Amino acid sequence: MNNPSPPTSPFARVSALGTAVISSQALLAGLFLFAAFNKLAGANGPQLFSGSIQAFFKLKDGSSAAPDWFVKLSTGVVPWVEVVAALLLLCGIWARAAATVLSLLLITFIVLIIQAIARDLDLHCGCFGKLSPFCPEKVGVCNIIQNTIMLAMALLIACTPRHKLVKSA
Amino acid sequence: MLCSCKSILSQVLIISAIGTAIGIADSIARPITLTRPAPPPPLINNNQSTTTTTPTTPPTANPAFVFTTEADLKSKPGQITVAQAKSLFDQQAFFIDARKLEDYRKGHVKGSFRMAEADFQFGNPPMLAAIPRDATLVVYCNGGNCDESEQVAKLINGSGYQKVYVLHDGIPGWQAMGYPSETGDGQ
Repeated sequence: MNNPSPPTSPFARVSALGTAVISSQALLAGLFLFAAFNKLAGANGPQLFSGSIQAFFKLKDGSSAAPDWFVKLSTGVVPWVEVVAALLLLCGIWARAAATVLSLLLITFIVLIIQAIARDLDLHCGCFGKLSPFCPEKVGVCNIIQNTIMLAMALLIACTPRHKLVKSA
Repeated sequence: MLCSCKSILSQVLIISAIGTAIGIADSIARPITLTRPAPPPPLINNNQSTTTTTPTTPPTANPAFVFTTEADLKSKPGQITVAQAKSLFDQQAFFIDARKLEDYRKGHVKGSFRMAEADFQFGNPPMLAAIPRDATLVVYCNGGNCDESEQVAKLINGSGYQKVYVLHDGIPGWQAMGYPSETGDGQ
């Protein structure tokens, strides 16, 4: 008499790469939802975020190089693109495309931070709205490292084909 | 592979379009007011005595008038004191009177233009087009609690002028210092 084989967990079929990708999806989605919430919540959220955008484009004479329409559009659009992409990432729907969108955002943020450091601008990142959980000081190398780690996770998701998430038979 | 990339690209565009549409709708539902940057120090000529934190009081100044200091305006970006305004006046800044015509006729900053909020109802007033975009503008009204200057400054700022300041003490502060004023229709 043969013993019946024990039931296998669906997670048993997930490859090591798959575990890394799924973990990155959950972590990245959580971080971007947190960031977007802080940029959108309350009356002050968008106001503070618009101030951060202006600060990144600050000129020597104290004015901002970013036109008002650009600041207003970015203030409204960036957090909502983050929300849509993060939700899709969390649900595993169009995950590679959502990760690509977040990668493009992160590359833009990194470029903005590098130019701010190069021009020795004294400003806070605004990456997570009024909160700065990982880099509390003024914008600097810490913000580049933080965004680079997030970019690496996003690229891992974007570049990994779905069939590689499961162990090959 | 190419097919997969095309499919991802179209999904990227759809995600961006959805986020943009919601973002624009949210911006319309909850419009934000951009704060103007604080007056930059280089605009104030350091060689002039009127640039000091405490305004110097000329002999003709009204001793009864309580002047606002730079310290009072720290939390009010874009607002300047009478002393700072005088310094900008000496540097050929443009002065804009945001009050009603009858008030303007009674007395205004010498050489100032009159531009009220209502003048922006159908677009920029023609007078504004005559002022270069990189010029420094100082807007004033009756000082204290009047907000016409704030409104007009926002409208001018929204038209692409970056160096727009509000004279906090308004025309009463300017005249109390005995600075150049005139009456009549002016500009």
